[in-house]
Amino acid sequence: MAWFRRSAHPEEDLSAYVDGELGERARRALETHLASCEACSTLLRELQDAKSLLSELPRLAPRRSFTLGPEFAAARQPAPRKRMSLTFAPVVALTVLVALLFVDAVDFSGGGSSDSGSFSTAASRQAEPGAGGLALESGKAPEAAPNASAGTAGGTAADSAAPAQDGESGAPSAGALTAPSPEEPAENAAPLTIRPAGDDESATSAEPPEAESGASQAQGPEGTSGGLSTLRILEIAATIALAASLLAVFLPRFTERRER
Amino acid sequence: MEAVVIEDDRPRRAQEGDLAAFNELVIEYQALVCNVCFRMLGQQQAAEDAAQEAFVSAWRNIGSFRGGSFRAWLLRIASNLCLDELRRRGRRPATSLDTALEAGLPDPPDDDSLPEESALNAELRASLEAALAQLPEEQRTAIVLCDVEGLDYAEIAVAMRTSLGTVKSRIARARLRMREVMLGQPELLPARFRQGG
Repeated sequence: MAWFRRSAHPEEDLSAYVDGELGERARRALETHLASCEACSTLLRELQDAKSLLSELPRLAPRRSFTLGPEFAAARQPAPRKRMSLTFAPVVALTVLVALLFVDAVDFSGGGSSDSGSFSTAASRQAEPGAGGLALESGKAPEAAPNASAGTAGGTAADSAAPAQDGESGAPSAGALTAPSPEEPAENAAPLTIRPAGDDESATSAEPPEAESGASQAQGPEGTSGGLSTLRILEIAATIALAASLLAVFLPRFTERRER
Repeated sequence: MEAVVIEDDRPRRAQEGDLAAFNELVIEYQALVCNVCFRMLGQQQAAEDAAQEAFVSAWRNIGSFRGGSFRAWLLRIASNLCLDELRRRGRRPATSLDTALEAGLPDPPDDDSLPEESALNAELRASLEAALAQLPEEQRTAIVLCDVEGLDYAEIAVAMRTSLGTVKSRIARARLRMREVMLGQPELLPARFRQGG
């Protein structure tokens, strides 16, 4: 009975063996044991008989058809499309996050606040949503802008360049940061998940921010210092959005797998 | 009992709104669902009502099917409905065979609804049915899904929303109980089961 001592549930194993559901190692151990154990061999046979009898119990034939009539054609929950856009969300959130971090990096490498302040003020005058982190390269901005608005729905804001418009960069909260004036359009687009339209809007609406731009110029240099800058907030928001969308996409799959 | 693995695109088509594809699945699985509901509820009419409800619910929620065994997913819906119905009725404790007999064996199915002649004689069949009815409901469901309907353990785990270990244990206990019933009435067993040692 050595095998019995090793197995915690010998009768369960015999039953699983009858169903062909025993793992490879356990199966071999059991078969070895059966070769020399009369009692277990008898029990095994009886369990097989029980299964065999049950399998011969007559089954019902349904008395009617259960197919659904045409009136049901409209009664489904819409599913697949939603799932697809949900999978997009992590990609978008990741893009936004990367772009924001890029802006961040370029910011600090660009030198002190006052420098960036003057640059960004100039940039902000041109107010165009563009690729992230191009605040200091206003010269390049005009080329970047159209690309940027086309791309990353997330709108990492940035910059500008635009045909010299006096308006400032699109966003209301222009005041918050210096270099980040590029962020402003980002703020509009950030709630994101795909609103390229948003980018275009902020691109064209140079006017509204005019008032704020005055404020931003004044505040510019002080933007980056201080506690929670707009850039930080956006980065944190994008990280949270990324984590949440990844969870939403993958958690149901893990749940299903475990059930199986 | 390995299931034949052929890629079945009907669930996917059903998810895209193809009612005809879904109805093909209904036709394929309606006997299965009816029988499982019958084993859980004990009455053919109630079983057919539950089966109809299960198919409607499956269609409405087809979006939540995430692949794997479609029949297991379908049976999960059906068994949940049956459990709700049992709760509504109030469980009947069947602590002994006599009590089970008093409570009523499952209604015998209509004679014309039995598709094939059973190899079991009527007395043996009655004895098995009584023993099944006496089992705790989870053991009964597990053993029916395994021995009568041929699902594998993984599918049964999905259908009963539980773990493989629990499935294995419920089937083992049910089978041991059925064995006891058999051993207690050896005269009923067909000759091929009588042991010479």
